[in-house]
Amino acid sequence: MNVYSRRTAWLVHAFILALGLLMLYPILWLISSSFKPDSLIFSDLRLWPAEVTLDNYVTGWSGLSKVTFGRYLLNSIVLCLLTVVGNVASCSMAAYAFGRLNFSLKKVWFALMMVTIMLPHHVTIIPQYILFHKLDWIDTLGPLTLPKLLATDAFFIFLMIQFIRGLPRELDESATIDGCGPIQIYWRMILPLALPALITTAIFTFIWTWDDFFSQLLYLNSPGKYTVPLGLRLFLDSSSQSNWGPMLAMSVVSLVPSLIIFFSLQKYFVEGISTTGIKG
Amino acid sequence: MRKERTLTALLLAALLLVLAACGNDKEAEGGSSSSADSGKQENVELRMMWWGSQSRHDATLKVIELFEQKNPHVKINAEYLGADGYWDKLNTLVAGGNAPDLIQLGNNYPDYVSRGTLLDITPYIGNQIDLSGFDEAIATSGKLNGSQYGVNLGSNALGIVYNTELIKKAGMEPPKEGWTWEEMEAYGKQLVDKLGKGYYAFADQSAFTHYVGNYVRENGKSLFNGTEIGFDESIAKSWFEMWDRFRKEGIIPPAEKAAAYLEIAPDNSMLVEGKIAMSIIWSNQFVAFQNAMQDELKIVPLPGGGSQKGMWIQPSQFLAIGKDSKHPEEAAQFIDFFVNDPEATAILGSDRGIPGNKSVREVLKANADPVLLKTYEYMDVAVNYAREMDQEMPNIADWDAALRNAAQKVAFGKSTYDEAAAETVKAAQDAVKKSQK
Repeated sequence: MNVYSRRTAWLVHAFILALGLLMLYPILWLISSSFKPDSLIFSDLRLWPAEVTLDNYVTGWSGLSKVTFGRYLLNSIVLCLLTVVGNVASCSMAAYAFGRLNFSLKKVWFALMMVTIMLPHHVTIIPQYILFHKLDWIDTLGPLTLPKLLATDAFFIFLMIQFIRGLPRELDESATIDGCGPIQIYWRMILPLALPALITTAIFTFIWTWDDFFSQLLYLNSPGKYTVPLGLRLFLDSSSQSNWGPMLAMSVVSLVPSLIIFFSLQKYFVEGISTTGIKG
Repeated sequence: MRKERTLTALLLAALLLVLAACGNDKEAEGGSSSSADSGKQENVELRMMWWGSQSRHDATLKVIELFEQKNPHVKINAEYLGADGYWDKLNTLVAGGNAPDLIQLGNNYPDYVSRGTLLDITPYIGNQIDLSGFDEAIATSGKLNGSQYGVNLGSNALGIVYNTELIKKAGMEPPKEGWTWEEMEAYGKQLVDKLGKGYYAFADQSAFTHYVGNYVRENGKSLFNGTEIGFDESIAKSWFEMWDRFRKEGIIPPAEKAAAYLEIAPDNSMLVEGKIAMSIIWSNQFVAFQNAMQDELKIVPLPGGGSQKGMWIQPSQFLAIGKDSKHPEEAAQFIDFFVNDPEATAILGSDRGIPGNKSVREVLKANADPVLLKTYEYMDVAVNYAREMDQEMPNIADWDAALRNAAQKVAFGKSTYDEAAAETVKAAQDAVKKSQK
């Protein structure tokens, strides 16, 4: 019995490991190719490079005329921090209002907010562009960050509403008895209790902004303001020459911040799951 | 109740702050632009947009810097990006009324002419822009309905690149220029026989729009004759038939394999992987393909054999001026500098194709490295197999997608030659009709 179950365990583990390796393959290929010279990237598909070179990292990092890749990283980080702050602050307020407060036409507003999730992105691109152009916000961080302060990411509002609805109302009531108004309840009760939801929002906002290409492409014009996704695309042009080596090398570099964020906040992720388990 | 009112007040205050910020921005910007207008003779700002990869960005930025040194009152803001997303961004800028002053376009420029995005630069030709050093055909290649909308930045031709190592391995003579489709097919069969399993003679390029263009032109037709499509179902049918025969003979990869490779760039190509011996590319891609592999590549013209020459010299890109540009004269000056100035053209090299100005071309050819030199030498050969180019089919991207679809259906045996031909012709008609609304 014991032997049999151990064998099963071995098999299961081997299977999981194989599956994991299979899923990791693209990333391993990315890392290995970033060390290959250009002539070998697509002609030699083996994972272990026949020739190892650091040139890709050097040329990739030096970037294009005066703008180094470090600049793109910095721009991306600034942009991500601003959107994270904006989203967390505004979406949590909106979610609190929908989850706890009573106001007229609440259901209508809620429905309207949900509709914005379902509205395809493409429908709003040109009107938005015209609006931001009229405001003279093109080539600034404005179009990418300021709307976040108005809780425009309805997905996160919805996520936090669900979380806040799960918090016991008795806590609010006891806070009211102790003399808290709606703002203090939001600040002293809801925010600390909703920390896991806030962190989830922050992580998703960070990663989505980090990976977003099109809106950054649209609103940023000066290369000095370019972010990582735009910087990576600068290496590629299928109609003439693409610099695949540096592009792959810088892709590896650009994975680092996302990984750091994820692993350093992983603890809260786990904590969030355990608290959501007992909160009801 | 009182608390709620405080909340409302706070929110209102926040909203006001945001609005105020917008207002300020706008005023500040408005002020600066009006002051630029009042000092008209001084300080011109232009925006230039192009796509490319690193080498092109570096070179173009250097040329802009040089131009600014020579014309200190002009400042050119460069907006450059990779090929990915370029048209999406340009289309949004155009729709949003914020088109750049200088725009790099491909052969799709008639689409932008019909949308009224581009300035008619005919008045500047011979004044700010000197095209006297250009070959006649290249100088007029930015013309549409008698008006000039762009200046050619370089030329290409289609060609067959072949892997010399694979052909040596098969113990065969390299392909010769001037061969016919029949000779090409026979050559392919022999090559596959000698190379053995897993190798193919040609890439499956039955969905390559301009290769179809070459084929119909050889038969005295055209993809688009300026007003409507210039080919019919019978020729499309014979095209699909021919490729399906190649597939059955095993000289091109089977459908399942071919579907995974686009064969339009080195990153997704069986040629680069050393599994096929020949593929059709544009001549300006030659250096990129060669850099992506170790076996030596060479290039020969496309097969002929019809009643007419099929090939043509294709302008790779144009530099055009946006219709709403406030300083078209300076923009025109820059275009002239870009294509004629000895220093500028030396910096730009052949990245955008072979330059149109004859003396520039001589200088660049003399300084070319061995790989690039092959492109120059090929262009001299290609001219002998080329005749005047047809206007590019409007909305060719739509047709490209439909052609790919039809060709794959044939490859996988999901549609007959007739059905695929009908689908292809219909899609081409739709693409043209869409532009004429």
